[in-house]
Amino acid sequence: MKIVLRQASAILAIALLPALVTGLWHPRRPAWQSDEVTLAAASAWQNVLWVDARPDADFARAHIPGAVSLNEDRWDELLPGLLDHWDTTRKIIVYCSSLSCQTSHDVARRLREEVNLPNVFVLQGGWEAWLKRNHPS
Amino acid sequence: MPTRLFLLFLLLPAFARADLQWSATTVFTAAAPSEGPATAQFTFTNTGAYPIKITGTRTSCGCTAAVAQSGPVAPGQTGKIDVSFKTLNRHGLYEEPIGIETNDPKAREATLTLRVLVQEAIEVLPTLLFWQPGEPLTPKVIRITVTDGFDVKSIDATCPNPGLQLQLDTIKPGADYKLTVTPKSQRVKATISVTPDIDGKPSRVISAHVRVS
Repeated sequence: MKIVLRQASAILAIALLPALVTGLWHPRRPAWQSDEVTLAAASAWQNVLWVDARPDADFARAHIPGAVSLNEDRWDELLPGLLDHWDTTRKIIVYCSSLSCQTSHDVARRLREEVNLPNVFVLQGGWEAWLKRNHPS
Repeated sequence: MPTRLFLLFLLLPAFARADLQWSATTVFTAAAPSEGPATAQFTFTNTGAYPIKITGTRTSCGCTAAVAQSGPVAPGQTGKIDVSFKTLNRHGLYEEPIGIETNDPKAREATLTLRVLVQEAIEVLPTLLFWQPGEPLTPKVIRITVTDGFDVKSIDATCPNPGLQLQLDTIKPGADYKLTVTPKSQRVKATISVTPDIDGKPSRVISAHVRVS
């Protein structure tokens, strides 16, 4: 038993060093603070502006009530529409299709970095999460 | 005996190596929207004893397309996957995962990453100037920076809305510019068009928005 524990400790110790190096210096290390928000947490927020980052056809089919469309294929055309609905008191939550899509993170990044908007978040699980909660089948 | 087992445990992953070896699982490319889609190629070698076939590819959005070489790749031969990424209207660094399915029994799935840096000839920051209700209408500044590698001769900034006063200053010719924007009234909604002149020809217009409410 002692041997097993000693060897398990040795493996952990060997793994710790590269893990620390990766966590501190790797260019693609995971972020300590995420910009994602769960639907449960978002539901408690007041004055939210939902931003739908999916393609036009998906938005036309269905979207979160009150959401405005902002996808990157038509960024220049759609951004003014979003700004018409935005004010400094509103939190923005961007969503795309599902957990695996990256588009909502890209749109959120651009709203923060290019447009300089504060309080921009990404809905964890996206449209699928919203559907699951509001239309469970 | 326990020491031998411990060593065997550490060496196990080496024996489980897939037959399909990628030359790189992450490829970086840079592109300008004016140049059309960004393209990249992932190559692999079949190091096993049997032919391997790419049976499917998956991308996370309609902006990325991945096309695998058709047909099986014989042992010792190389294959490729061509990837393209839409750059129009996009800006910044994108990381697109590409899922690969194969008939390699040792690794049925793999994930490749395409990193694309999309850069316009100029960077305009921020693209929104906002004055809150009751805020004094003091001037605010938009910085215009020429991206490395672009030969920008001059910059033009225009706005059809008479409710704005624009002043464009050159900080460093061909590199840095400052656009000072002053609203003339308490309600203004306008778009400023910033156009770089590259080699005597106007390039793609970048929009900046102004809201005074």
